[in-house]
Amino acid sequence: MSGWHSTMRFDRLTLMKAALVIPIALLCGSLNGRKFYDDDPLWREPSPLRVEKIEHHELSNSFDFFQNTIAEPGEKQSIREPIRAEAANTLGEVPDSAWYRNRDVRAAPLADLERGPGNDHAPSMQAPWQIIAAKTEGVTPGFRIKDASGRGYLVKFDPPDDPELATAADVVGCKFFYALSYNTPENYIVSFTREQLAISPKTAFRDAQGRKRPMKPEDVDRVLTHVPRDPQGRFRAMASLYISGDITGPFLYYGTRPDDPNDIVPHERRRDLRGLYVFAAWLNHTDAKSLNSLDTMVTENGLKYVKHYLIDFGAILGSGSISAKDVRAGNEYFVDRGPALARLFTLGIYAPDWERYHYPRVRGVGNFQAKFFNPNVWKTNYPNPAFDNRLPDDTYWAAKKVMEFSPEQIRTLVSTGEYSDPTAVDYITRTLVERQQKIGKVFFEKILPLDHFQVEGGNLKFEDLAVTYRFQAPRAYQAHWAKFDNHVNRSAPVEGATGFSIPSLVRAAADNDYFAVDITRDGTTKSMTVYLRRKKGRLEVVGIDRRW
Amino acid sequence: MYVHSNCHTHQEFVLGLTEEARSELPEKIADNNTEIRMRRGLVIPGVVCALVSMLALTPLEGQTETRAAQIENARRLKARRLHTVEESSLKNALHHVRLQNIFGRFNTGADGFRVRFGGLRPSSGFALGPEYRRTFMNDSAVFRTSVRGSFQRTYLADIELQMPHLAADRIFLDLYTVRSDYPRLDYYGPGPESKKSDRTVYRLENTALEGRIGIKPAEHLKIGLNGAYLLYNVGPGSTNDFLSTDQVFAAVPGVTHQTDFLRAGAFVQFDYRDSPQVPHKGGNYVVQYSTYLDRALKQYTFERVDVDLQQYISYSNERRVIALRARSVFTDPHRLQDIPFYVQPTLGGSNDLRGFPAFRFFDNNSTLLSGEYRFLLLTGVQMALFTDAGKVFHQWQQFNLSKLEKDYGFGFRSSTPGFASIRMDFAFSGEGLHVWLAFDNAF
Repeated sequence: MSGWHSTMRFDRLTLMKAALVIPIALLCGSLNGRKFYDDDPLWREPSPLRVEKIEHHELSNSFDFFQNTIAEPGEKQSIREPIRAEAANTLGEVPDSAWYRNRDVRAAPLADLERGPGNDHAPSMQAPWQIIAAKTEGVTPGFRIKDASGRGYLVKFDPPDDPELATAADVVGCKFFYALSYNTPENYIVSFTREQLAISPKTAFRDAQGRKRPMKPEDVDRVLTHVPRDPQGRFRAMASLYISGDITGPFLYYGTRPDDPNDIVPHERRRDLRGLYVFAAWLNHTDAKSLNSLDTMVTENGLKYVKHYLIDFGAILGSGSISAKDVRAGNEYFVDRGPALARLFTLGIYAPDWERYHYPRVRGVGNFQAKFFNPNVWKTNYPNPAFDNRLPDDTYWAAKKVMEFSPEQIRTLVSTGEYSDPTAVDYITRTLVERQQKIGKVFFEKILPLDHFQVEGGNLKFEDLAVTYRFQAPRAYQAHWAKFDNHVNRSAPVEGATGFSIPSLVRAAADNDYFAVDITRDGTTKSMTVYLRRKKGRLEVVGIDRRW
Repeated sequence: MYVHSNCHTHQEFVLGLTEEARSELPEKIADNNTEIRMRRGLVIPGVVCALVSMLALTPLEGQTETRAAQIENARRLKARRLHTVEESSLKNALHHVRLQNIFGRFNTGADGFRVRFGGLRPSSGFALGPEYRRTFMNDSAVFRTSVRGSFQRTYLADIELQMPHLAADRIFLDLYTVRSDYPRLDYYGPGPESKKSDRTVYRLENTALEGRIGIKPAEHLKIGLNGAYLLYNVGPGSTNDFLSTDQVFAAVPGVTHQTDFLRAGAFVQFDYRDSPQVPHKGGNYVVQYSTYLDRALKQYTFERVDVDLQQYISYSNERRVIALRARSVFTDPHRLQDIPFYVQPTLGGSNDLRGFPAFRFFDNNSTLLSGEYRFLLLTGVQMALFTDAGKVFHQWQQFNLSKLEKDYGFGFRSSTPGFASIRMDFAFSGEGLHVWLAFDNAF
């Protein structure tokens, strides 16, 4: 087991004790705990505590694979009492934090999307790049370099038979995930000749035999032997600007870091990590695992704290980093008992549709399709505890974000991969739009997809996102109003107050009075409650509960 | 607190308590991150409950906190009990394995010492031993040497020098020498009519010095010459379970007298498989001509032609593969000459007629047809359904496809790139079930 705090270890006695304590605690909580606070809904977490010291730690690829495949760490959802997401405000949105920074895609100019985390720091070509290390992590070869301005980069290449595949994916991925409000590095497509590379005198190198020795020009040549060249003989690569701060290693998708005081929510409960499942599914980021994340100790405004990044997107879309993506990816885990047994007992006759799909051969695209994409059952290469804990309100939140991208925005982001064949941009854009539509259709169906509540013109107004995005025809909802006692977290129905017009009792309410509106629709048990508060003479939406 | 609004977790509850109460509770119920560890028996929960109940009845007016303050309080609570990440020894060990490329050392891709599995003749028992490998000349030359042994007291020691990419990858050169001792190899008698009940054993000692040089005139194509000096010694088999071959088959050529051979030949190979280790598509066609010159007894000179044709057809995005193989060995002894049994083609064993024991059939010529339907069970693990048919015959002019011995079966293969291949086959024939564990592909 990792030394990270985990919620998976409970002995029997502990469970008995917990069973005794927690219900009483919850009862007391219901008597005492107020539901809303003055600053709800919170859109930005308070400034982090200063972090004095944090340890660097490494993670083994094989350990991560075996642990998540066999031990399945982290909490597990229970059917009786779902474990709701945390790190979300009372509206179900994710506030700004060291993990996530809200970026409004709908309002973003195309140039902002194109810039992503930054596009002003491409490696300088003024002088040869000094190779300071060879990349040994991950599956693709690469170098760590410093350019003439002293900035550090990780340089990675495409697989020999698939030019543009992994480099484009890595750049496109960083732009998309940045637009989706995560922290990502600045990734650049670069093109250079062999003369651009020099070896720094102190560069040590761990060769294929595991021996550490000074790097030689032949080592560079050996790596470049397998790198595709353009007609002018130049190498194409992806250069990822070093993330600032002191790197402290990857984050896990469960538990919390025991040495980070600001890391207080188990990662498998974080909405931004649960919802990441939907984003990963959309972009086919089948390699969404701890090793493709990074924690770094940054200093901002004199404050040191740990910031969390997503990195390494070389295996998104149709890329598998070292080749076109295995058609299994996204459909089955590396080790997936059910399908394996099905094939075993049918002697290989069992063959899902995706196995037979004919992928178009377009330069730089790899194996990427929307036809058999099912966002409900899409899978990473091996289980991810945060993804496995996702609930319908998590996927709804993320699907809503995905649907905000217009086709033009998607095309702009895809174009940052600098594909030489325009067909590649067309195909990937079209495929992403088709996958986007499936995501909206599937995840908006799991709960009432009502959003953007506001009080306007004496009515409670909202948007039915399934209608907005044309998955459904306009439909009717019922509303029942109740007075809500925020101190005891209890509702008392208001006699005869139904519909979406603001009842007179509510209009006449005093400041700090709360109301709850239960919303239902005929033919479904899904429902939701919208909470309103009168504050400074105005009615405001302060919270949303969703049930399914 | 910034949990979901209708989420009454114990964390949310705790964040509604006073600062003093909060400072008592985190070790027990406040933090979901921490295992609930109450070590003082059932008294503690009672105390906690009483405390909680009292707190529940405290006036609400005193609470002026904000959501932001809830978060800050939770952080401060955690800040009091920070500790370092305790890395597990397993995680550290696996990290070390990756850094040192220890898995690579079990395969052919890494220099230095490694453990080498298998590589002996079939039915020699589970073999392993140290292997040393070294690349030089900027990785264009490989030196390799190994010693492998099994519990059947079989051993093999070899030295090899490979230069596969000379002259801008146009020329290749291999030099190989081997010394082996197999104290109990099976022999059932000559010809297709040999009986399983006639099983005998013999000892075979072999020393060989071989060389191969060739050119690559085009992509996938190799043409070359080879030569070898071969020394054999046959002796009584060392087992009490079966008679020694010399006791039953003394009249068979080579049983009582052995000779040294000088072998010379040429070959042509067209190999366009996508991956020789785990082929999905393409083919590999090899034709080799050799002449064996008897240097000592002048009784056993002969010509030999080996034909090995493999074709791989994949579908379902290479997740299913039809693998086909046709292999024949034809020999032609010079006038009044014979072929000693220990250099005759054989059938039976893990790589050809898998439903029969190893070396079940010996004769001057052989032909074999194999087909496999391979499909992925999960990443890196294939299942295969297969069938083999073949026979041995005395004169090459007798070649036909009638009266073939047949078997069928299934097997599992693990062949992840970068890892050694492991294969387990279960084969059925008229002579029963045979299970093979091998560290290579059947073909």
